[in-house]
This record gives sequence, structure tokens and C-alpha cells, in this order.
Amino acid sequence: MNAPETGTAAAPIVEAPPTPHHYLNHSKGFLSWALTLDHKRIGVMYLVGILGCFGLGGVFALLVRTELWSPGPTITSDPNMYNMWFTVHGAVMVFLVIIPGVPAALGNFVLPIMLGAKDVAFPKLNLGSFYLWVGGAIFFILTLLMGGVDSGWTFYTPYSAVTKTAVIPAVTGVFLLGFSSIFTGLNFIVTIHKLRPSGMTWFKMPLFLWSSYATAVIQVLATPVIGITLLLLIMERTLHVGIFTPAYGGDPVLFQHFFWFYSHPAVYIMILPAMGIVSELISVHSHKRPFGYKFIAFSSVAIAMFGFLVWGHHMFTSTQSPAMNAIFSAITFSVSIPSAIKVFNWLATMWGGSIRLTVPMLYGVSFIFLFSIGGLTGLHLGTLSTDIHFHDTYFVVAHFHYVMMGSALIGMFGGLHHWWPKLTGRMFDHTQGVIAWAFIFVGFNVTFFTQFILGSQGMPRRYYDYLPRFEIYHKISTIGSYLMAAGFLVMAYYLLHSIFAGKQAPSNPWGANSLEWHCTSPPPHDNFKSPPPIDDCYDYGGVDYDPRTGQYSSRADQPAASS
Amino acid sequence: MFGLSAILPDFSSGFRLPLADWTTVGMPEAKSTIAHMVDSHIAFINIVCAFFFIAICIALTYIIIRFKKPAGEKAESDVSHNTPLEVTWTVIPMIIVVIMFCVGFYGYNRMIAAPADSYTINVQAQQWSWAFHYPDGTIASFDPGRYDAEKNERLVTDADQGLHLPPGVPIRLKMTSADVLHAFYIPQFRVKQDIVPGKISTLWFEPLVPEGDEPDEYWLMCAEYCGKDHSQMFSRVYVHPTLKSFEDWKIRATSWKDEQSWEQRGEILYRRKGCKQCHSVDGTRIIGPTWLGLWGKTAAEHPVAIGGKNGPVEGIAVAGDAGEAYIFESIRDPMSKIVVGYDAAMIPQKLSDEEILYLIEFMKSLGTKE
Repeated sequence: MNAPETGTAAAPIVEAPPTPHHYLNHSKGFLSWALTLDHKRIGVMYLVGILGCFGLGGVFALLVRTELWSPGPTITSDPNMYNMWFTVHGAVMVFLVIIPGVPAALGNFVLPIMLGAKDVAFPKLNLGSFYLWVGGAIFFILTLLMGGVDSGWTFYTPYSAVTKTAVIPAVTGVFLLGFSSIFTGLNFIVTIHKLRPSGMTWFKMPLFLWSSYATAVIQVLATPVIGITLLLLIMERTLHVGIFTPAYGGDPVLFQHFFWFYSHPAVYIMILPAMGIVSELISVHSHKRPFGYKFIAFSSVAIAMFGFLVWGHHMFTSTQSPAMNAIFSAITFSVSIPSAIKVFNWLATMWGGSIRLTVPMLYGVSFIFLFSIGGLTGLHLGTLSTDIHFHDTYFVVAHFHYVMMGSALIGMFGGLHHWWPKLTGRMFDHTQGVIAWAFIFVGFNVTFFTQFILGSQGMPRRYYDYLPRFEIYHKISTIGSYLMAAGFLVMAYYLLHSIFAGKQAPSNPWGANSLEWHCTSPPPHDNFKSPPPIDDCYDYGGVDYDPRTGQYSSRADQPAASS
Repeated sequence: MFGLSAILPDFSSGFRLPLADWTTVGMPEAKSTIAHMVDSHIAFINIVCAFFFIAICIALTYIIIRFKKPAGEKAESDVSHNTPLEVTWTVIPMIIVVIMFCVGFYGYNRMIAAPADSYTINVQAQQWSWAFHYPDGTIASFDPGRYDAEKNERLVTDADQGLHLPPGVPIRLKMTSADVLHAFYIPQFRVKQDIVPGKISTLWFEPLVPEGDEPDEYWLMCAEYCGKDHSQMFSRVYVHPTLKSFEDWKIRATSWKDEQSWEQRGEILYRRKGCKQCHSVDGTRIIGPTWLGLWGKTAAEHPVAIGGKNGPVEGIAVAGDAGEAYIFESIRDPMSKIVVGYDAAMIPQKLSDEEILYLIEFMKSLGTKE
């Protein structure tokens, strides 16, 4: 179903040098990448784009934090500038980085290999998704060239309908990114249903696939709503239709309902794949099967389902009726249960294992720590009487950064390190990896834990200027953001360095047993020369460590290696 | 609110949990009748969170220390699940969150139902100012204060403006917005409510009576992003210690113009009514044209677009009776003539004819100075 785009793929697959065939050297030239239908290359292109956008969003984050170093003007005397910075930071990070981050970049690369498949079900649609993402990114750049947008990433009406900034290009970008996301989700659903090998039943799938599946369902069902909402917003601005703007007879709160009907499930689009990665990381680097596989798997599905029913908890102060507030508060608490289950099961997975504190594992463990804080502080916001005080303050900012960055992105970077040897065929430097992790972990907590205190004390969000009593916390928070930035610079350095000068990566550097570790690093163009045998992907008994070479080998691979 | 409340115990005295103050470390002072209740709920959640968080941290640390092994060692155990254990850690959090929901729900019921004997004030929000209309016709505007870099404080500019509140009475606010979303937020009262254009939002609270002879002072902040000067949309809030002190303020607030010239009244209105958010008096360009030297401009110096930004351009002399008529019109109907080079950004202002007259005199004083 997915013929290789150039010539035949009949080159013999060999484990040993001199020039092993793999997907990176399978064909050469710009078009061999630009028009590729190989899920791995598409994943790599996504990864490059997403990490680039992460850098862009990070620069805006640093501008925001630097401006908040002191009350009043710090690096700009124009509040519009600041408003543009936090809007672009939020929109880039959410729509261009975190939502596509795990599914489109890492998922694209890993998911078909985990299934032992050659590719996703619809390779052309997959490439189409990528170009929609590129289109979205172009519209965001256009937005910046047109002077930026200052509506906040939430595009709340009526401000977004009247502001003079470039709302329409930004919204068009989000619209395109939405379709990119829908197509990726659709592709993954069909791939998991139809390309799952016969031996792999649902409950034999790696947990990453369960969470990817749950994510894909949300992407397909929720994303169209944001698409139509943003089209209506464009119509509102251009044709003055009167759906959201009171001046034309509309209702601003309706926009909030539409927006959060997507954007709350979108939180789970962001966090669920990261949870899937962490389930893999904890199991592989503890060399022990996940504890309570079914509870973890079903909790992903439960989160995806409940995630659709809680959007109103963003609107407790919005003039939504008290009865609605009570109902949304009650349902919101139901989401906390599957989240708690996951944390307890990860801890139990580590219990009795053989833990190696590799760089991916450090990110996995950090995820448990940071997600616990992010999840528990959600209780303050789900409870009606207490949310009223915390709503729209830095408490919310801290909470969602713990979930969106401390969890979703930390999970993504854990996955990036975990699969980096598979992606590039190179090992990164462990020591530098630990140093970067330490900067990021410490910096993150310094930046955002401080913001819980700020929010408790009543510092509202999206303030260019603030009361002097908040200054000390803002200073600490800004210092933390610089520590984090230093960590990410170190990470960029050693990852790039590894591509050119890293040690050759073995097939299975971590001693894992899911299918992607049974093909070479980097994988050959077709992933597997014949359908791999399906066994228990979490049985580490058959993975042996050779102390002389410092490498793992799977007994199941032995005959293949000797052929 | 719900039929459900009827069959459950009555917590009309508030639903304050008996938890120690240190458990809400980091909260601002609790200064309204519901604030201590809210804080006790926060304390309850903080305790639950601290318990689970510390337990998770200890478990994580212990597990890593105990089960960290050199490369190649096999896991000690291969247990795949333990259903009773997993059911336990599913059910216990369920019970806790049900309790948590109920606590929040009862507290919230108390927070939303305004007592019948409330004193009602109309709050009008617009980009980026507040106005407060009292039942007897007194009108106060916001006092955003100004930042004093030397003292590193935001100082009050006009203590007779701002939101003044009588003591010992529940206050009900009826709030409207002239343009975009805003939100009324006073951290010490633990209240917040979005103000949605096209709707009336309601909020109530009862500030604690000040202990001394001076009014208690707070900052009212806008908590919903509303554009450029969102972070300047402050107002000072005063809770008077006695009813007399409140009534005295009302007299001061209504008689402010008694000993002032028209020009001085205009200057006060310029500050209070939010004109200064967009029009400077020192020649700097903010959003609208500066008022410095505006009066006395000749038609050639003052081209305006008629009927909107892209309308036909015509010169208007800002002098004499015609100049006064032009300014009057521009305040009442800002879209009718847009000064060339500026956006059509102004909304019609709710000012009395008299007030506009004072503002015109103030503008004239600026013009003649140049």
C-alpha cells in the first residue's frame, strides 16, 4: 500500500558496517525528503519544525519574563508589545509545538514501527498533514510580519473581533493546524485498527499506542469545533455577522463555550501522548513490565472521554449559570481519578524493577514529580469556592505550565531522548544530558512554583505592569526561566553534536523489548524485512546485557542477526 | 440553588472548615465575610495535596534509591498487576474528590446568593477605567493611582475617587461593560466576576468592618484581558469604618466642583473619566491626538475625515463657537470626525453636557499655554 517513492527497497539489510542501509541514506536530495511518503522522514521533518518553533516560542517566553523583571516598563515601554509577546508565545507553543509535538513528530516515527508495520495506513495523507502544519507555521510567521497579534492565544471575543492586530492570519494558521491534527489522528486510528499485526491483540499493544489512540479520537472529534469557531470569528471580523460580538447582536460567552469545547480536550491531546511515553520510559528503564497495564490503558480512554465533558470549568466566573458551574465542577473531578491511577501505577511499575537513571528516565521521573504538582493544583481550580479566587491569576498560569510544559513537554523530551538513538542512529552524551536536565528541572520549578504564590496573592494574568508587592516573585520566576533556557541550549548543543560526532547507536541501547528496538538504529526504509514475530513487548527476560560491550541484545533477534 | 440543597444540611452561616491558618500560607489577608470560609477550603485542599505530594515524593525517592541497579541486572519482580491494590487507589481518591466537590459546592452556594438587604452599586467597566454609580446618584470614577519609582509603590492620586463602600452591609454590584470583557477582582475579598458586554453581571460581598478610624484600602483589578492597558485597569477601594464616614465621602464626592473654576473642573474630569488614557496634555502621542495646543488650531492645521477614517477629508478650525461645537460632537459621537492619521478608536463617552463644557475650558487652557 505504500510503495517506496524511489526505486526498489530490495537492498539487503545488514546489521554491520560499512554502510548499513537505513531510512536516512535510502535516497538523497531535497525532493526525496520533500515528497517522501516514509513515516520516519515525515516524523523527522515534523521534529525539526516543531523544535524550531519551540525555540521561537521560547524566545517570546523569555521576552515576557524579562519584561516582568520589574514593575513598569523594563525592556519595552509599549504594553501592546508585551501583549503581542505573550499571545505569540502561547499560540506558538500550543498550536505549533505541543499539540503536534508528540503525535506528529515522535508518534509518526515510532507508531508504525511499534506495530511492526511498514508505514501508517495513509502515507500520502500523512505528508498532507505535514504540509498543512507548514502552512499553519507560515501563517504564524505572516502574523509576526504583520506586527503580531494581541488577543491572547484564546482569541476571546469581543476583543479579538475588534483589535487592530493580525487576528485573521493567526486564526487561519490555527485552522490549518487543526486539519493537520485531524488528519494525523485519523491516520493513527486507522493504522492501529487495520495495520496491527495478527498476533498483537489490543492488550498486547505498547501503552504508547493506547494513549496515541485515545489522543487520535479526541483530535478527530474535537478539532472540527475549533475550526468552525475560528471561521465564525473571521466572519465576525470581516462581515460583522453577529455571533460572538454584542455590538452585532452576538454573545461573547458563546465563543468561550465553543473555544473550550475544543481547547479543553486539546489539553488531553497534549498530555495523553506524553503519558503514553512516560508509561514506556518507566517500564523500559526499570526493566519491568508496567504495573496494572489495563488500568493504565483504560485510564487513557477514560481521560479522553471525560475530557469532552469538562470544558465549562474554564468559565466559572464567565456569567455561566451557577447550576452549570456545579455540574462542570463535579465532572471535572472525575478526570482526576484516571490521572491519579496513572501516577500510582507508574510508581508501582518502578517498585521491584532494575532502575537505570538514564537521561530518558530522568525525564520520566521528572514527569511523575511535575505532573503530580500540576494535577494536584488542579483540585484548587476544580473546586467552585476556591476557583473564584484563583481564576485568571498566576495560579492558573503555574498550573497549566506544570501540566503543559512540566508534563507534556517534559514527556516529549523524555521520548525524544529515548528514541533519539533510533531516530538518528547516534548516542548523545549522557553527562551533558544530565546537566541539561538538571538546569531544566530546577529552572522549571523556580519559574513556575513561584507563580503559584503570585497567583495565591492575587496577581492577575496577562499584566504588563504590576503592583510592587509582587516584584520579588517575578524576579525569582524570571531567573528560573533563564536557568531553563540555559538547559535547553545545552540540550540543543549535545543533540546536534551527537548527530555529527556521537557514538554509533546499537539497535537496543536501553534494553527494551517493543518492536522498534528489534530493528536497526536508524531503522531501514521498510522497518522490517519480514513481519516481526509478536511477543510480549514488556517481557524483559529475553533481553540480555553484555558487560563487555555494554550493550543489550534480544535473544529473539539472534537468528536475524546471524543471517 | 438546586433541589438538592433542600435535602442537605443548612450551612447558611457559612461553611468554614476548622483548619489552622498556616495551611493557607501565601494568601492575601481575608477581608470579606466569605474570605475565611474560602481560605478554609483552600486549606483543606492544600492538606490533601500536601499529603499526596509528599507521599509520592517519598515513594519516588525510596524506590529510586532501593531499586537503582547497575546495567544488565534483571528486575526483582515481574508482577503485572494487583487488582485489590489498584481498586483501593482508585476508590480512595474518588471518595476524597467527592468530599472536595461538596465542600466547594456548599461554599459556592453561599458566595452566589446575595442577601436581600444588600446595598446595590452599578459598576461600569470600559477600556481601561471603572465608574461607580451609587443608588442616590453619586458617581465616582476609578482612581488607578500612579507608580512612584522612588518609593516603589503605587500611590493614590485622588482619594475621593475610587470605589467607596459602607461598612457592615452586604454590597451587591450590578456590572456592565461598554466594550470588551473585563473582570472585577479584589483578592482580599476572594471575589471575581467577569463583566460581559451586552449582559448584566452580578456579584456580592460584604467587606469586614475596618478596625481603626481610617478606611481599609484595597486594589480592585481587572482580571480578564482587555487590551493595551489591561494592567492599568486598577481602582482604589475604600471600606469606610463608619456609615458617617461613608456619607461624608458622598458629600465630598458630589460637591467636588464647588470651589473650582470650570477649567479646574475640566482638569479633574480629564483624570477621572479616563480621557488621559488616550489623550496626553504634554504633546506625546498615545492613542488619540494630544490636547496640548489643540485649541486654536486653524483649519489647515487640523484635517479630519468626515464620517469615518476613510471619509472625505476637510479642515476644521478648533476655535470660537464652531470649535466648541466640534469638540462637543467629537465627545458625543467620536466617529463623526476622525483626525487624519489616527484610528477610529474612541467610544461615545457618558458625560453630561455640563461636564463636556468643563473639559472644553480645560482644553482651551492648554491651547493658550502654547
